[in-house]
Amino acid sequence: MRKDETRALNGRKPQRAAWGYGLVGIALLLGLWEWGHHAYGSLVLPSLADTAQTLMAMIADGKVGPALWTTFGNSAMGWAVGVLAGSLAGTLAGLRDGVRLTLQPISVILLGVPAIAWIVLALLWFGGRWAVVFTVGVAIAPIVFAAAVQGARSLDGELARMARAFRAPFSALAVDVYGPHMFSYLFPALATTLAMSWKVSVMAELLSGSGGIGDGIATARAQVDTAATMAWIVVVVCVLVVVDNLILRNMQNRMELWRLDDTGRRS
Amino acid sequence: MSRDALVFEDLSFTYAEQKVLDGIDLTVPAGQVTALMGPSGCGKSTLVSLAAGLLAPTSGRARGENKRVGVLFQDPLLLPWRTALANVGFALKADGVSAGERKDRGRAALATVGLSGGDIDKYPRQLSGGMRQRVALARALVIKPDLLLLDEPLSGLDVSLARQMLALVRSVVEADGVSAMVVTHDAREAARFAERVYVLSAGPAQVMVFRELPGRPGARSEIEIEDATEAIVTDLEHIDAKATA
Repeated sequence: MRKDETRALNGRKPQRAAWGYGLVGIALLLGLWEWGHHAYGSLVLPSLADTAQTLMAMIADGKVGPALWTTFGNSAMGWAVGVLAGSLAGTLAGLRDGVRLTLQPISVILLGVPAIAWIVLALLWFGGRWAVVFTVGVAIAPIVFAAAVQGARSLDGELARMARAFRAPFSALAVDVYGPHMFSYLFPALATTLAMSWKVSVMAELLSGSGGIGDGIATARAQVDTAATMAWIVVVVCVLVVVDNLILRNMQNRMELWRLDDTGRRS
Repeated sequence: MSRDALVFEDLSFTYAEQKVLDGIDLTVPAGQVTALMGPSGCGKSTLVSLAAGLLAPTSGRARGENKRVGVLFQDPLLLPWRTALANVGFALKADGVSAGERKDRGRAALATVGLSGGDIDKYPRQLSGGMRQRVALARALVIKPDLLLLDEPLSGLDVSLARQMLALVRSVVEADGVSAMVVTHDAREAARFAERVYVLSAGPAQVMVFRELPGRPGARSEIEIEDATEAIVTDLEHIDAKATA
């Protein structure tokens, strides 16, 4: 049997076991939820069935789709702004010590400010959806900044020397030498902040009342509708699970290919 | 009279206020292999960097009209996130070669160094040290160089593979009229494959010995190779003795 075939067969068992354990974990969580409902009643924790029914009703009423779209827009815009600012500043800081020493304390201070404080300030400064976009951007930029600094500081001068020896044009340097290196450092930060941007966005929408899932949660809270609150939470969690499993993990697996040695292990 | 591919004229190089090369006069004739030898750390790699245009001399000059320079470094310096085929194709990006042609020429160059099949789609981390160095050689050859600069590229390889690689370089030199400057520590390999040998002193490096080896490398007898090896080893020993005196 060929080595890669053996490896593939050996790989299936742990993968199946991982799925099994994952399903046990989810079943345990749902069991706890149902137990909590029986122990404390519907006002504190609605049953799984009530939550599912409420969610179906919300989808049928056309509440979920537009709210999802609004939250997606807010978090995507905020994420893009934060990533752009963080990666540009971080790259510059990684290449120039003076810039790094100037920006690092600012980044630490920004990281130390709680997201909720940014929301309050952003509501005073901008209001509406731009308060949400700003809050997401300012919350994630320092994280991306830190990753970009590390990436830029560890750029391989020898590879650049090789590229210059072969008279590689700037586009090839960017696409083949610097780009993949920076991306390998930025990707974990981009993945983390993508999930974070959703959570911060929902939180900011809740306080700003500018539409989206957060606004839905705020309305449910005002109506003391715990089932609707839980239904909105289920929507957010589903989005994050889908994004993580379908997009980020696939991207990560593709990106990690070059890190694997001949035995399929990460070296 | 044959053309000179590369000429260093009274070339000096200083780095961080320390003189590395001191008045180097050296010629690499077109279509020949010139071997560069000397003690470790004497500045041979610096000379390769100057030849490749990666450094500028502090004084003197380096001249040559080579449009394509293929470089093989001590370390293969492959892009870790690109496959063997893409690494070879990378060298063609300077010429704006299309992606399809890069693949075709890359495959052909890799076949020349004995890599084909699934190996060409592997990433550097999945290849052995010898295979990586062969990919690096394919990258240097794929551009159809006028001048090949080899900076101790075979030091990490086993003897038979190193000899195969040098024989390949030699065949490219003879078939395509390519010129080559090879940094090596192996006097026997220099005697087997080179037309001429320069031996440098310990830093700041100067040319201490220049030897034009007899006959064509491919037609050299084992006795001629043995004699030339002995002569080069004697040169190196004299330089070592001078440095320690």
